[in-house]
Amino acid sequence: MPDKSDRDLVDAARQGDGEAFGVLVRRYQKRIYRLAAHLLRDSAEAEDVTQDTFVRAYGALDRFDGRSAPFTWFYRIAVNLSLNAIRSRKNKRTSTTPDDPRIEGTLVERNGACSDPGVLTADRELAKVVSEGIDDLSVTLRTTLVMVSIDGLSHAEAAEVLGCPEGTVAWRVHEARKKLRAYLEKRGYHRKGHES
Amino acid sequence: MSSSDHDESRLPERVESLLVDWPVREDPAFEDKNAEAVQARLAEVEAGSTANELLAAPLPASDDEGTLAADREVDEATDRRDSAPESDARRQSAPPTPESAPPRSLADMARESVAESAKAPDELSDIARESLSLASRSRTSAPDIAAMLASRPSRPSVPPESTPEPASNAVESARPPESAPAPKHRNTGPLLAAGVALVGIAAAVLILLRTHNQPAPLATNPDAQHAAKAAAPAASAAPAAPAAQDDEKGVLSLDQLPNGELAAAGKPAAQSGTAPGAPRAAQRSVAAKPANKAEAKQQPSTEPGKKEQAEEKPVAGMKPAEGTTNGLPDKPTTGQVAVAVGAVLGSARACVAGQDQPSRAVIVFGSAGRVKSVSVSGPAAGTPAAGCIRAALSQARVQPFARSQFSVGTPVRPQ
Repeated sequence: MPDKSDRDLVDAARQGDGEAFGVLVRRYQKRIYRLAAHLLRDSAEAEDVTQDTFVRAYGALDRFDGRSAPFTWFYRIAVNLSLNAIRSRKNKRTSTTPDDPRIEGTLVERNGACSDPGVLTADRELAKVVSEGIDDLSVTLRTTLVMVSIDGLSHAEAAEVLGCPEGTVAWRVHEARKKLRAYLEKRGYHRKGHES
Repeated sequence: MSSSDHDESRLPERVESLLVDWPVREDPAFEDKNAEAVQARLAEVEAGSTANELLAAPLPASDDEGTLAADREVDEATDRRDSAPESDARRQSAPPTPESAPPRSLADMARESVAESAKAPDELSDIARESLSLASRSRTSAPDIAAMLASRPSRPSVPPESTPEPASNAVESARPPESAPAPKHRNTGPLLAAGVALVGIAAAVLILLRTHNQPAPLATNPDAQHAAKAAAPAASAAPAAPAAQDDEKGVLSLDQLPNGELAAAGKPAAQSGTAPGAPRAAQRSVAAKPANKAEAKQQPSTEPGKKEQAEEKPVAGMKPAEGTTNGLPDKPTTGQVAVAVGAVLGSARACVAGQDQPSRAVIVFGSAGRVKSVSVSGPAAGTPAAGCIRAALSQARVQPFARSQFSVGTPVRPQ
């Protein structure tokens, strides 16, 4: 079962094979969680969106026409759910929180084998500043940047998820990186020379 | 797009590294819990219960957004091109066609033929023949064209001894001069018609040459070609990314590439590798395209049956960087490596689909630009996936360079 392609698993799930859909969940839940975490900046909300994404996808299996890859379909639902969650918030968050899942993950994953407190601190600070720079972007630029630059989707895949032309995705990524760079430079992170 | 625009979006290398490798939370307990929770909820889900709004495109393009050539996804690091709106503006400045028929010039036809060449290699010869045929037809219809042109306001004629232009340059030549003062009326129609025919022939010959010399990627849309043409000088003069410049050991990590998305350019969307984006994006890379047609013609041809010899030769279609010794750069630029590896990384990532942890590969390029060896470490090492990764990454090609070899490391993240 784990060796089956996404499309085969979707086909099986449409026939009522819940286990097949479970394989898809396990295959993509980490990526969906990462996307949601970057968009929502909150572990609990990201977990909720991750679960909801697959539940909603299952509820719409009858409308999956197979023209796109299943994972882009999951992404589209996850982005919609995340945007809905952001819109429904009463207060707009303007800074990272101590338990920001993005920084948490960085500490655990990037420095798992590193015990140098200086490196840990520098990495944490960098992740925090970059996260804040990303948060400073508009939702559209942020979402596109996260999908392309962080999660590694191609422009074509991102375009399919977001429903815009590839050229627009390319423009968004360029704009987002430009703004992020400007944000970082204001805080002393320059392309050349000192990077704290 | 100027090099300053290029620099505007480059990020510090540590930031690039962070973006590319920003980790997912590794928590098996969470994964199990989440998967079980989803599974439990599925029992309550009714088919069709999901609102259509959740399936709709979340962030479609708006009017205030720009657009860039889609090729940028594979060579953004080295080659900033004109934006599509600029190309549109240039296209709009093209002359109106005097006939009611679709405004297709020979240059347009040749350009479309070149674009079509990316679709199916088997069709290349047919396309070239078609171009020749079109050129031939234009010759035979020269009197008609002459009559048509004679009925229009006169314009500068094309000198009969003028050199036929290559396909992409033909786009420029197909345009009339802007508000040029009208010379004394002469019957220049036949000369113009002959010139147009020559352009068509040149385009066809160029396509044939490219077919044999360079199965390299080509832009598939006119805008991209406009942009690539306009940006070619800047691209060739662009300095290598600092990641490459600072590389003293000859080993470059793709983690340090200026654009994280470059590595993802060749990534197929699904395990089956049938997603439309990545392979096509890799095919459309124009970074490996020669900067000018003369260089393209000078590329050595790789004839069938001479594979061994060809392997010793530099990779066809790759242009040596400028300012280098003996016409060869010391090593490939970061952008070229990114394009080369990005084009095959998708296949490599498919090899580790389903794995939780990324593996790592070190690719060693020989001076001819071909892969000498690939070593795989991480979870895939010692498994069949390692051979799969090696086979995939061995297809990467960079420009010839002066060093005896050049290594690059890249993470191979599961899809």
